[in-house]
Amino acid sequence: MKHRLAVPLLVLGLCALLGTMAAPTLAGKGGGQKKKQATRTFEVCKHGCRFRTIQMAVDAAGSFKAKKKNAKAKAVVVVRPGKYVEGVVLDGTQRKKSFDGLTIKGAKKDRKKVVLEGKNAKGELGAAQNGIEAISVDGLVLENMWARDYQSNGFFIHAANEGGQHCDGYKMNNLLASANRSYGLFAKNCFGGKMTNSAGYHHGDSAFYVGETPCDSKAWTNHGVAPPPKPCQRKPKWTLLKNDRSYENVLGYSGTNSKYVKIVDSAFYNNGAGIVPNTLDSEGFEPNGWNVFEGNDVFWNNYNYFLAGSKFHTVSGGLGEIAGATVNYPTGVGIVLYGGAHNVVKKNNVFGNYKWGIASFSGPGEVFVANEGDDAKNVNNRIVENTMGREGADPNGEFDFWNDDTGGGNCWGANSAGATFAPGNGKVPLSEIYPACPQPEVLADQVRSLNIAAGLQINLGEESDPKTILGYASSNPPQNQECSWVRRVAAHPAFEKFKPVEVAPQPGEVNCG
Amino acid sequence: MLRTAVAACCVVAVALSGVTAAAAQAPKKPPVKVTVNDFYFAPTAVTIKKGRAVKWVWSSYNTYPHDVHLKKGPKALKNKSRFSTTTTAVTDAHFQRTFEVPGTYKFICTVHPSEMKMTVTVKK
Repeated sequence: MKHRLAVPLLVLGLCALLGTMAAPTLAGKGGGQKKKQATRTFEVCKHGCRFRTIQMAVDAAGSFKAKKKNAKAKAVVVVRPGKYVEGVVLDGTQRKKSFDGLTIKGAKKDRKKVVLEGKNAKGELGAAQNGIEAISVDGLVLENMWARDYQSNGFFIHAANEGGQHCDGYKMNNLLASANRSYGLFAKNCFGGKMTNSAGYHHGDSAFYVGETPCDSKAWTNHGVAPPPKPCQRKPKWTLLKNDRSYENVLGYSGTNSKYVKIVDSAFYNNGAGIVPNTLDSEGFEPNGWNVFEGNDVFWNNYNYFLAGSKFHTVSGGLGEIAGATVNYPTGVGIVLYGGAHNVVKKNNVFGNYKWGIASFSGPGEVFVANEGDDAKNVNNRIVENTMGREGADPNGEFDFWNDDTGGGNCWGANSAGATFAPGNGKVPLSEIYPACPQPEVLADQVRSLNIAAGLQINLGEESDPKTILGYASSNPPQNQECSWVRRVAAHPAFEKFKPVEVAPQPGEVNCG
Repeated sequence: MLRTAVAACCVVAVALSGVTAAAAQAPKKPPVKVTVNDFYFAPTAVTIKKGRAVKWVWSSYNTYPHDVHLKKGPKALKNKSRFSTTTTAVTDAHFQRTFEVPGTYKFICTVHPSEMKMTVTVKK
């Protein structure tokens, strides 16, 4: 009896054991028999691993994935704690390697344990340019790492601009980037992705950058009236930035010609300017637009990086030139909408920025050489339900809202009571400069990027007037931008665990005359 | 007299050997420098004799990433991928290649293919 019962139990037990062992290859989701991807791990460490550099492991993973039989397998590069002095390159255009779907992650959740160090790192072209650069790779996952001191960027994912190459659906999670010359987390020419739970500081441009969002057609344009422009992407693939921290950079976030980017629940503080979607000739698919910036803390963006005491220096060539003067990004501003369409700025907490809280302006490309093709035009943006200046406790400097009265279809609504609006020369009513929501939509080609009537874009005859965007942004020398900053409180009241960081000018360095 | 003749002979011999050595070890011409700048190569056209190199040097004033990519080369050229970088660079970078196969080489930057183009013409 005992034996008779024991045999079926043993069989059952063996079946259960086999089932468990088979789990990595046979998925049990919902009891179905769907095949689960097998995972191959490529471990990197300084001593005792098969791979001593991340590049070696990545190359091995790429070769593994390129084999037909492994096409559906998942490849994971696991990096043990240590400092890796190298620049990793994933070239998705190589024939005998496939990096699509590859994961590269630090073994520990503490991202500071795995350091990609750019100092003394060598690459194909001399100094290593990026901590990790992925070219035309889909579905790349980067996690739990810190890239610092690189000649160009920390983590850089992009697609070559020819031959139908693409980089779709990347995930950057729990990364830290610092002191890279240009950008921290940088994605360009990709269809959708994620940058989450990450942080960046001390960059010569921005800690987070999403640029050149591609359209369904290379020939896409936002120009035209009859017929009107088509959507850039018919079924948009969104990029999500969530729970990120960006501090002490030229810009917290920059998005040149970025589209379908949603930035939520993040903090942008102590930068030159906080969140800056922008439209520039330097990248394809102008303009920026169809982005959502919601529920972010944007504060104390008063870092004057033009001063000698700055811990980093701008690599930006500015927004263009007006009469021989370089127009730089404005500093002391929380959120800047530069030449964008259909952006939504909603429910953000914007305070303690010494110039303006939320500024919006176009590039007067129709007259100046600020933007060829007149693509940088603010149209159909909505700035709603934002809380400004911590309701009086930590006001924004000159004004909470500043708009140059160009473009059209933009609106402001349900922002915090008592918010202040820059009036310009007083010749145009505030209700025309800051129309209430909703407003009928306009087409970009129906409105103008130049408007001097309100005295906000440029003050002819007094072009250096810092109350205008062109006067302020072309301050010469540029560190003099701070001459028109307004500090409304002696010291910022405490906010969570953050501390304000500013640069003190050396004697004579800022001359406000 | 004899001593003078021997000495002269030696001088001539030394001089001749010098000429021969110089001919044998004729210093190679330095590579032609092309700068990689924000949105342009300079110069955009280079003509060289086969066996000479071109060195691309990234400008220290750059803000944007660029690469060098051989879009089209001579039919006889093998291993074309050697003539393309596998990474981009913003600044502090260089890339050098020697051209042994005559013909026309069309290069682009894959990040900015419509703006950044250049040609290297290699003659026999």
